[in-house]
Amino acid sequence: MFKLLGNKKIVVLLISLIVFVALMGLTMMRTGMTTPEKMIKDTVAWTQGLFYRPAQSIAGFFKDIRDLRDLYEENRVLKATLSNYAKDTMKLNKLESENKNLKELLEFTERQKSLDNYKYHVAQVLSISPDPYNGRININLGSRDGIKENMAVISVEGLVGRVDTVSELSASVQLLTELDATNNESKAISATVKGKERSFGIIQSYDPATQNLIMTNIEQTDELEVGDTIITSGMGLVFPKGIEIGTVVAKEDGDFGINYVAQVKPVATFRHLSELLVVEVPDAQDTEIN
Amino acid sequence: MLGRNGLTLLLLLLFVLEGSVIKWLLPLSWQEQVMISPHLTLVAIMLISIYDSRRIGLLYGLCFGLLHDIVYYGPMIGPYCLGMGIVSYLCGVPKFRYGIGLFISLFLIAAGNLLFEWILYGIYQVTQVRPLDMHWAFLHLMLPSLFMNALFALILYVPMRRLLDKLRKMEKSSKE
Repeated sequence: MFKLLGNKKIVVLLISLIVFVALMGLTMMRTGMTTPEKMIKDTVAWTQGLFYRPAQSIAGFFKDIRDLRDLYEENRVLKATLSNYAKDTMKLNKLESENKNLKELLEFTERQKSLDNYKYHVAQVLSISPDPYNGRININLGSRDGIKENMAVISVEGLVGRVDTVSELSASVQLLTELDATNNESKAISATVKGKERSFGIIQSYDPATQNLIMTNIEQTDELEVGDTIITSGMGLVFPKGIEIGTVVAKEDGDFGINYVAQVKPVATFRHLSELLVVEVPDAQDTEIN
Repeated sequence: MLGRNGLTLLLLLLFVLEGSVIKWLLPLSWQEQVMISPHLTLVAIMLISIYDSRRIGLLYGLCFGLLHDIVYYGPMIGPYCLGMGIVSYLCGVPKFRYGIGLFISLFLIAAGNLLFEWILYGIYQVTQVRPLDMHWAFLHLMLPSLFMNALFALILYVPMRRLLDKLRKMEKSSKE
């Protein structure tokens, strides 16, 4: 070994190893990015955006050809849904005005009224991390567009992740696949069941082997069943309420048999992402708890 | 597109591509079951290290690893920097009597890739950032990535080799 590398090289190797271990240890606890980091990231992410869209459209073109066969059937179904949609819109308008009137009757404060009034920012994906241990994507909105840390990021299908770090022109999104109960950096999501808002659970980890989210702390008296749709409850105030997360595929006993644990299959796909929505909760600073 | 600057530009281009285009070129159905991590830049740097000089490979590896750590905001700065540095240096170490052909370099790159994956896995395991089952990680992360990157190496081999040969000739003629 010594002959192969030589004495001087061994010393260099050892010193650089020590430097690296120190660097990793120091940067593990970091909370944000420094200015040079932000500048490098913005530049690279912007350039990657130039390549991301064309690649997406090329891939989309091949997918379109494949999908052509299903198009006819889909069109028929969509037409049927559209008539239902028109009916529902009428109903919604009526209910909304009724809801407003009732709120006024009950004398809600302005702040309570605006609590559900979320603002959506449309974001384009610039790049996806090629590292399997690090599920992060970069989007083309940054602090200049009013993006702040911990905002929820959704796709058309459902919840995708949360904004992790923000620089001037871009932001990193931590995907749901990164949720980890043992990590302080990852924030758990309080969730409930659509239609049974009394039930409650916390989604705090992701199992890469089964590709399911793990929902814990479900009470024994809870009405949660397999097949239910899980949505955010908005209790943690990190995520707004009512965003679809996934469907329950299994309900098991928890670690100590006191609570139930449910496996939730996420509705959103994390692989081929293009357009995303960043949800801004009004007055996030005033109501922020954690 | 010639000279050392051209080489750096090419590597930058590959770096940009590996985060944006490659994920779209791989069919979705492959990515459902396994996680493929394309390391285009690493493959190119290993080729540089094999055919040009391992010192330059080491330098490129460290720089692009650091860039990766910054751009994708991983759990910490360092794993890619360290891993890419070590692997690209080691790739240039073995010397063969009759020169290095396609197969030997492919083998070196495959071995280097596997080592890189193990270094990453090891670092993340030790720091408990992403504890994964070893057997699962090997089958679902490392093996697919290994094959994918060997494929990339096959694609990159001819153009990279030409570019490097040209570079060497240019440097020789400028010395004389």
